[in-house]
Amino acid sequence: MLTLTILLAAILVILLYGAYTEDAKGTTLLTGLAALIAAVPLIMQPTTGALFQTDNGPLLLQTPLSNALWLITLLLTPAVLALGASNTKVTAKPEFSLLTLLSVAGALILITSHDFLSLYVGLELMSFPLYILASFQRDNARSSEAGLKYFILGALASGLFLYGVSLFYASTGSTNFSAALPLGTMPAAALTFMLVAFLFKLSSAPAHFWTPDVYAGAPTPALGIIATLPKLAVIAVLLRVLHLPLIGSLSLWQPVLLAAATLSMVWGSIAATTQTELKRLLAYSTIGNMSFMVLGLATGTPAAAAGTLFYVVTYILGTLGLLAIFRLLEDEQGTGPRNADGSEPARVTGHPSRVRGLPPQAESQLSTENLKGLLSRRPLLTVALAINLLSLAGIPPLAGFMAKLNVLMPAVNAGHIPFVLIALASSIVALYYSLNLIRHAVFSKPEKASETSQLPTLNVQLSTVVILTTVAALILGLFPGLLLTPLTILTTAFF
Amino acid sequence: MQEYFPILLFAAVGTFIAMVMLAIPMLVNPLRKTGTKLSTYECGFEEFDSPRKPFDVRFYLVAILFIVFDLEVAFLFPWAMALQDIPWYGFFSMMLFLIILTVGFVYEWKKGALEWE
Repeated sequence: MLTLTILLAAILVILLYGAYTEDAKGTTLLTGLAALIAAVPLIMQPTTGALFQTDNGPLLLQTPLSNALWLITLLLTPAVLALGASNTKVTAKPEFSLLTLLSVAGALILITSHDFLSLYVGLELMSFPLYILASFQRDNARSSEAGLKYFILGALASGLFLYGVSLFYASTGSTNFSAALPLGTMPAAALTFMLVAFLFKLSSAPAHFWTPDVYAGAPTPALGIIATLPKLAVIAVLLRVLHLPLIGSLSLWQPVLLAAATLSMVWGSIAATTQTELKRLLAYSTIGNMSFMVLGLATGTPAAAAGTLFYVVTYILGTLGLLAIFRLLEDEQGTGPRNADGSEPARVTGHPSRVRGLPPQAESQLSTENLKGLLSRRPLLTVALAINLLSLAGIPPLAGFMAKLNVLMPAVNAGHIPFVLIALASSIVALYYSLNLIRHAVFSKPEKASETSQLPTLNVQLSTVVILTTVAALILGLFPGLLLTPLTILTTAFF
Repeated sequence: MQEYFPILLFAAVGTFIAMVMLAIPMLVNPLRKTGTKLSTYECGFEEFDSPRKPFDVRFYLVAILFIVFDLEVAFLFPWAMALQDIPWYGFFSMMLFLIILTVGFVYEWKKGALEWE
């Protein structure tokens, strides 16, 4: 409670500070500080118990598990902010960090929510800043497109979710998680609508269509929050929803989630292989990675839940690292490959209908072209890129491997062997595109190997993020027990 | 679900009648497009302007701000009426809401959202 109060009060104060000073750097520092201060009560005096009691049950419920997830979220926030504030003309506004922090506050409410109403408030508080952040680059057509698509589809998902909640209310007479959903036609419809909305927020496969366009269009600093912390919050609350009010319908949601996981692992890995635009590729990689978390949720045992949460953390770290590297490449793009007349090379990617109508000055997107010759330009950055990519792909000594192992082993124990086999096959396909990126960075030469002498100095904040995520991928891969053991204890207590 | 059947019937019959009413003129009516027929009908006058011209985005901003403060009043009236029954807890809840709204108001003022020119 104290954590949430500190965070929300800080947002109000920093909003005024930002409005009066227009000081983007100061605002970022203050928001990062606020997130860390809000984490202090969680470490010093973690409280558990119900908040905002109603007749049907509490609106928020703090448990040791939710406290741990709060702590993870708040500790990752400064890294997300550092990515956002990496000082480009895009994000040099105080609103950028503020919206990020608001989204984090929404994520915290989502993690502790114990009622569909507080869940909805948290979900909207988390999503709304993301829509704005996606369209933050207002003079860029692709960014506006990303924001609008994200907003309209997100509103559709929220509407479906609300409809599901209303059917839930009609079936049980309560919106609280302490109510148990009975079996029947209307409860099944309620379950379906809610699951669709959750799968949308997770960008898992039948509801993943927004992901590539939003990822490709949104400014890279904004992706730092869009692609990371919300996924953790949604996974956490989905764990609660599935095992508190919906546990009676396990025979309904388990096949649905298994099917969604299968679809997204197959589509995420196959569609990613043809992408040349780095952020679109990251979007498909997200879809593919989400399938493992959905598989873990579908398995529904304490070990699988712990593995899923461990997977989210490694996924967030890997994605943050990759995004920071993309930002560094974007900074470098000014000295990157150019046409003979000095203009940016035209890179038409994606479906033609998306590209048509863009103004000619639309910024060119990062593509595999930008990676060429990275090894000769920046050897250490290439190593970091390789470690983060291989961690996301799940190569043994790295964190991603441990995450996949700890999701797949409980699934095997629960008897979902066909799904595990599909997951393994699709990770091999996923490995292809990861290795392909590394091949571009290591073996390819840039088409015009000029201007290598005047490399810009690396941004300090971004480099710190890259170093942290790389080291974390190594540490969590070698000693997964550091995070996995506490998570296992907490999820076992939850079940 | 049984008791909702009349609604389904109503929707089906309504859709059918509407489609028939649209289909008959399309099949029967001879289509003769003339300039007068296709032009915009504006109370018998010649049209003054194109109806599709973009309008100032500032109207949209004012509309949003109006909705925010309209909602505030919509909350304040029932709160004022029920204040007898919701002693200090209700009072401070509304004060908190008003403080948050005021911070937003100060923000929009500083940002120049209220300046017309």
